[in-house]
Amino acid sequence: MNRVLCSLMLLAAIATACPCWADDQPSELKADAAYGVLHAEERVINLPADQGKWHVSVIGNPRDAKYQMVKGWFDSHPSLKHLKDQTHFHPITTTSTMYRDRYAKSTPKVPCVRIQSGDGQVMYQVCGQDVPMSADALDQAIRTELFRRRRCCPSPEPGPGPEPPAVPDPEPQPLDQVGPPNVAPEPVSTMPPWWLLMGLLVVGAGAGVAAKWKETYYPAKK
Amino acid sequence: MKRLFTFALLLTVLAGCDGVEIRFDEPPADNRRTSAARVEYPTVNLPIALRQRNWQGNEDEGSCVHASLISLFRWQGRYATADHWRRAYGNGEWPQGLAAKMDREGVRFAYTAGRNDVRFLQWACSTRRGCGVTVLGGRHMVCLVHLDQQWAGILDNNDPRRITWVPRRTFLAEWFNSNSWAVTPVYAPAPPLPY
Repeated sequence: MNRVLCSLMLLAAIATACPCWADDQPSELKADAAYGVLHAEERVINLPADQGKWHVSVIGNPRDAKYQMVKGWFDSHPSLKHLKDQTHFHPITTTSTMYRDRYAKSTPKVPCVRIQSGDGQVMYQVCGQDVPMSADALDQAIRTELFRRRRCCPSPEPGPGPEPPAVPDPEPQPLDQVGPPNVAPEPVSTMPPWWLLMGLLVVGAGAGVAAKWKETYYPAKK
Repeated sequence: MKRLFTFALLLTVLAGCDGVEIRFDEPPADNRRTSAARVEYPTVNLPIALRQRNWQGNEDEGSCVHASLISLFRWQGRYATADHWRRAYGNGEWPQGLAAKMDREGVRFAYTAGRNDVRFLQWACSTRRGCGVTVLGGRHMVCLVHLDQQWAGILDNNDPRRITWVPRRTFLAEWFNSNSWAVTPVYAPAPPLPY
């Protein structure tokens, strides 16, 4: 009994010690010269589900005063700042590689203010001389366009919240109708009337019973 | 005898219908309607000039983790952080060491390691952030720049000019057997191409 107890205690001590070893950083870690991962451990944190979040891009030459002014509106004007806070905001300069290699082709003129849904659809865009002179006017233009779009084709509001749940597909229609619909008049039934069928049924049943009766009680002599 | 042979043949054919393919533990695909939006391939379409090539650190170790991270910083508009990271860090890296550095630098980030958590990869690619993922049994890190139901797009910092496309299941098999470490900064990804 003592041996068993000693073994159990030894096992418990080893099990307690193992996680401590696992937590220690390995002393001799060396990565390949061509790669560079040393070791791996476990940890998971919560992740923002913001794939539906809208994007606001302000594109322009960094030395252009109007670009700087428009970009500044998104910090100074309350409504535009509110929009900025709810979306991914991207100041993009025309001198950047990202602009040159990615957005130059799709930007007609600068400065440019572009609002996109999470999947890239342009919800509002104003470029070059069409950019208004004041933050209030820009705010009003954005509001008007987004309101018009919402009335025409409802779309999700820009916001940090998760995507609304997907609308489930409607119940599928039955598959018995294959091909074009039948537009001919209802066919007239060719069946005999019900009373005739009932009569025949009774006569048939009676004849059957009589035959069986005769066969049972008056068998034919061989 | 002939009947027995026919029966055995039938059994063999039926067993073949079931297949012997290996299935990974993936979350079930949802039945959302596919968007009419233009799909960009890869999702994380970083211009070539911004892709960070791997370099050898002062301890003669590769810096694949840092190179992957720098590419992701640039994709997420953190150019100054990317430049600082290139100057300040290098050599091999491991999750806790990297987490400590990110915390020290005040970088917002997320990672998973050793849990085969495919949801993390899907989250990273569906939010268009991308992530660094371990391959080659855990010795190397590359950027996962695309993941859909069929394909995974990989940007290798040892050959950053091209995107390598592999079947999703092949990639997952590689990642599952490479300590399944994935890490990404959590900032605004570059805006999608307009349409």
